[in-house]
Amino acid sequence: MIEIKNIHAKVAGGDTEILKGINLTINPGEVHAIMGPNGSGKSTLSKIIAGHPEYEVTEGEILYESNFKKTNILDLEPEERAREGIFLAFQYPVEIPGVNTSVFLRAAFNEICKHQGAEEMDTLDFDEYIRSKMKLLEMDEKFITRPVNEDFSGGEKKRNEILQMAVLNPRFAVLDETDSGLDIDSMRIVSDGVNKLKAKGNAQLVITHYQRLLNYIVPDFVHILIDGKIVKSEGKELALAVEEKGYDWLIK
Amino acid sequence: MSKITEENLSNEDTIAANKLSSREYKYGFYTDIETDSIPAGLNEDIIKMISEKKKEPSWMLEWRLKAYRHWTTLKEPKWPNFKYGPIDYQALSYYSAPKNFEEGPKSMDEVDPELIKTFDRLGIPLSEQKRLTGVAVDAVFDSVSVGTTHQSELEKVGIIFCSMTEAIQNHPELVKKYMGSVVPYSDNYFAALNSAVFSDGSFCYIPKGVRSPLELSTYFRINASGSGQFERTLIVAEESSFVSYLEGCTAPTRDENQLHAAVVEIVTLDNAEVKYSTVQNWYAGNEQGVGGIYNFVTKRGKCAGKNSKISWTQVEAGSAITWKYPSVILQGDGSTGEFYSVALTNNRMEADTGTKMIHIGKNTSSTIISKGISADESNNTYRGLVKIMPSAENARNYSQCDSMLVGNKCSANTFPYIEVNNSSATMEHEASTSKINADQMFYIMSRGLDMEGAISLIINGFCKEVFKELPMEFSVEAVKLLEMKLEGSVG
Amino acid sequence: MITQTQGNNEMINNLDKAVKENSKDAPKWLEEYRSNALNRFQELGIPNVKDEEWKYTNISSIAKTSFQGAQNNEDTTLDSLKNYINEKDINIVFINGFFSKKFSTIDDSSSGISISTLQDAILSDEKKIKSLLEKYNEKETTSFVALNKALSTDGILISIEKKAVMKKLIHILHISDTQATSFTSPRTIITSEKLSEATVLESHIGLNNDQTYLANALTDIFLEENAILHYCKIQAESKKAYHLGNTRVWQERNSNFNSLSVMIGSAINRNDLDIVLNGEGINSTLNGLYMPFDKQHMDNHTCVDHRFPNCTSNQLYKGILSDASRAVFNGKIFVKDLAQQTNSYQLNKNILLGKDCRVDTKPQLEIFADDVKCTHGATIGQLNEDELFYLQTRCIPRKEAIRMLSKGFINDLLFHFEDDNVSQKIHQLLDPSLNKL
Repeated sequence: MIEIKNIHAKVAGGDTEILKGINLTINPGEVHAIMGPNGSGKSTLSKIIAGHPEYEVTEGEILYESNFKKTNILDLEPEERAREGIFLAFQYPVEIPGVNTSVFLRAAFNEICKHQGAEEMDTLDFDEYIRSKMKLLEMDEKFITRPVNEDFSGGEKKRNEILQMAVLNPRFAVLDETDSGLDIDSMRIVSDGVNKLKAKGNAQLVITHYQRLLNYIVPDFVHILIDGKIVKSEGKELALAVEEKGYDWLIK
Repeated sequence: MSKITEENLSNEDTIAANKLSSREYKYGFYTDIETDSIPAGLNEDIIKMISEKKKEPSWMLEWRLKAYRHWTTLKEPKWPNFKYGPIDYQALSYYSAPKNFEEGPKSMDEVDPELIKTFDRLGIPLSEQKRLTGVAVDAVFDSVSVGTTHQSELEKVGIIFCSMTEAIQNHPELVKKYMGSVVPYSDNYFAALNSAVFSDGSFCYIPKGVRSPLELSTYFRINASGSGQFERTLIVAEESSFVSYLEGCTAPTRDENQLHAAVVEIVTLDNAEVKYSTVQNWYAGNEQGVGGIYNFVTKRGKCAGKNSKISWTQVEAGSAITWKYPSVILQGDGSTGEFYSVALTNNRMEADTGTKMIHIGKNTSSTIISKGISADESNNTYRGLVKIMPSAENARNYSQCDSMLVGNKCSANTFPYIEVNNSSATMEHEASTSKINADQMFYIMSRGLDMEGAISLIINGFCKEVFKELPMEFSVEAVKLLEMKLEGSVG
Repeated sequence: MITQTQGNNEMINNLDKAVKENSKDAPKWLEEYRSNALNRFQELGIPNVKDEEWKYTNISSIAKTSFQGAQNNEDTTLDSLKNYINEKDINIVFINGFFSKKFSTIDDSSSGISISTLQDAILSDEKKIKSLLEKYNEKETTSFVALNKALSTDGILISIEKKAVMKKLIHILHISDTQATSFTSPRTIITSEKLSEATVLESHIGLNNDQTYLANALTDIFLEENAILHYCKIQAESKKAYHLGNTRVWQERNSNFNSLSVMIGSAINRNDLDIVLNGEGINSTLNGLYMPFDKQHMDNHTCVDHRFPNCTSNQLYKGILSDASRAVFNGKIFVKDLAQQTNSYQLNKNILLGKDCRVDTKPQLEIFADDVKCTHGATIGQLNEDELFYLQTRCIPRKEAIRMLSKGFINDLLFHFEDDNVSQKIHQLLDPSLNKL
């Protein structure tokens, strides 16, 4: 579904290379996890996939396959990538004061409908649709009438990210440290939500610091990212090894 | 500056002109029309000349002269939160009208086609065939009203809607009774100046028990250079009447600063309601802050009657400097005052705006919702006063003043004055600041919306309480206007 | 623009002479310091209501009164002070502006702190005193700050030393025990050095409730990196006195200033609290509580100047107004362009109990940075009738119900400090007022 080929990247206008040649192929139906110490480039990778203007890709390409056609998404704007079914659950979800969550979600949802040539949903139908998704995440109904992420607790913000994922139904989702700052109950709910959204045609890339999350969202592959490079890729048992031994043994 | 050459302004052109791709001021054109201006300068002879041109009765001239004499004793106020270049009041021309206007147009057919074309281009068609349905328009071009639509329809229900000049000639008793009753000529420097030299404006009288079937509207256009615009609007709503009034304004792109010192007075009697909406888009100067209108306006309403209501809604998106405080004097028991405002400044614009709610009567209530958006290197100030007088038993006020900053070279200030002189009063004031920044834009865009959609979403969210107060078509226009102004500043 | 008020020359008896006499034996720099301050005061004059900063507080009655320099009172008894002095604390006592060795309990063995009168400090560490006194630009001082600088002859310097954590409460008492229409100029300087932590209570107490006098106080507080200071000011002057207080706080990186001002005394009270947040990661809390009765007038001005990123300031001022009293709140928040990620909150809440009381409030925000979170708010209202009724249906008399709800309204402030000793003192001083409601 997505092929990341030899990606080198730095902060736009900066000198220091953060990603130093990432290669990663993810097929439909798979769940991949990326682990790594602080500053290894995990979040940078997620932002590059979503198209954050803060980063500049100096080399490499990201090929995304949809409708039997491969596109280098680096040429696309963030909203175009989103419409193609790429979703990023932010590590730090942004507060949008005054903008009602359901208005925001409906606008986003209808953009995707428009893109797919489907009919847009009216407020009432959408309301029903969103409520069904909220049930999935055990969310309070009051949630959607509040401004996006404003005065949300850390856990609520993360749940809101997964709600958006549920509503927009992406083909490829990147979850950037969705577990950080969550207590165990919230993590269970969020993970359940994510697992329920898993489907044959979808793929997920889970970025995390802790092995804990991977007990709930079980990956097919675990990659260790250190200093801008993937140094090891194995099955889910790699996460346990890292949990136990740390990262030092992986640096040669 | 060229004459309008497009022979037929088709719909496509209008749509093209509305396209949001550019921040350019689309109303910046100039109409090359022969004008009749009086020489620059300000003295009693000039005022007599203006009065004569308008064929005014002597009481009007006397009032003007009194105002002028008072003005000469006043000093220009220096307290606002901005500086502006000195205004040479002797260098301005206080009257500029399209040639041969002395008689005034008898009907729309007699109006100079060039003028009709100008207003067409501004989106305000005046001619019988094309005029807007549901809205009666009084079109003011420089110093004079060039025409008022739908007059006959309004006459049927007894509503008087005409230019101030006509009102002075045809309804002197009403003008005499109400003009200056809310904003006396001695009120402030610019009100005194206006009272001395005002050239035209709109007059609107809603008789007892009548709800106006149409929205009434005045469109102000400054065209001539070296002049200012000093119009006066007076709205009187008799018992149990209602009217919704709209105001729009534009001016050509020019290097000089032009002064717009208007006065608007509203009087509501028992159970009457007036809703006054403004979308102000005067030319604001260029990116370096050269040129633009000085918009120094005194707007005030008096809820004279019991249970009456005055509501101001303004979207201030233009002018080099906006300096005004649409206010309400809540005199009648149970009366209500409202102020809903969005003020946007970008480039080097300055705005110092807000409201005054003066509670005098018992059980009076007021609401203030102010949204300031500052971008680029502009300054945006909310300044407001809520005053509960000792007589105002059980007065209520709710105020909310929010600011949004776009970029870090601009500033947002909030100066609310709250004076409570009656212990039965309840008032609540809230203010906050928020931002529109690259992270938010990216977040929204990563959910599939484009730049335009993202700005629109944020602006709509920030201003929704104000936009919902505007008549539908104004609201759409206002959102587009703000989006267009902000596009270059975000991201 | 401040205009001179009539009576300016009369307010302080023989002002020029008094200032000159103060400096008889003083070092040259101090003499200059005082005469510069005097010039500044004379240049500014006594502010009147035309001055924006004094719009709601008319002090013409102060300007018209003639005050003479206060005299030391040897007759003050320990008994009259017993309500205020607690042996467990470090007590620093001034009577009518004169340091009282007799009543002060400064434990010399207390490590981590040094306390000395300004007169002593000038002799022992002239350089330090000079730099502390000259920290602020003379051009920015206001009338009454200048007047204090010109007239104050003594004061206290408290230095909490590096890394010291003071368990004992430091209590500065300014006692007015006078029969004359006199003035005092209390002067306090507190420096909290790096990583130190302390609690300081400064109280202004009038023993003779019928006496008119003027207390024009100036307190400077300097917090170095990572220092923590809990500071409480209690103003319980005589009911006919005038209290003009200026507190200036200068905070460096990561320091934490946590304050509460409690106002119950004086006929006219004006408090200015100015905070400069001169570094990153600073926390500042400015809370206040005022309970005027009769025709008391209480005016609080705060000014918080955010100059660097990632700082937080919190303000909560609450007032309960009875009778024909007046309260003014004017809070200014500046967020300079560098000060991104600033969080600044300000709230002023007022309950109007009296029939003829009056409140003027003016919260101000001036913001030059975009990535900030600032809110301010003000409420003015009455006690909730439903709540009063509910209590009444539970057998509580209306009077008592009012008292209970009023207490509830300010409860969070009453227990603002973790130090029980401070809370206890606040209670002790407030209780008579609360019982009067």
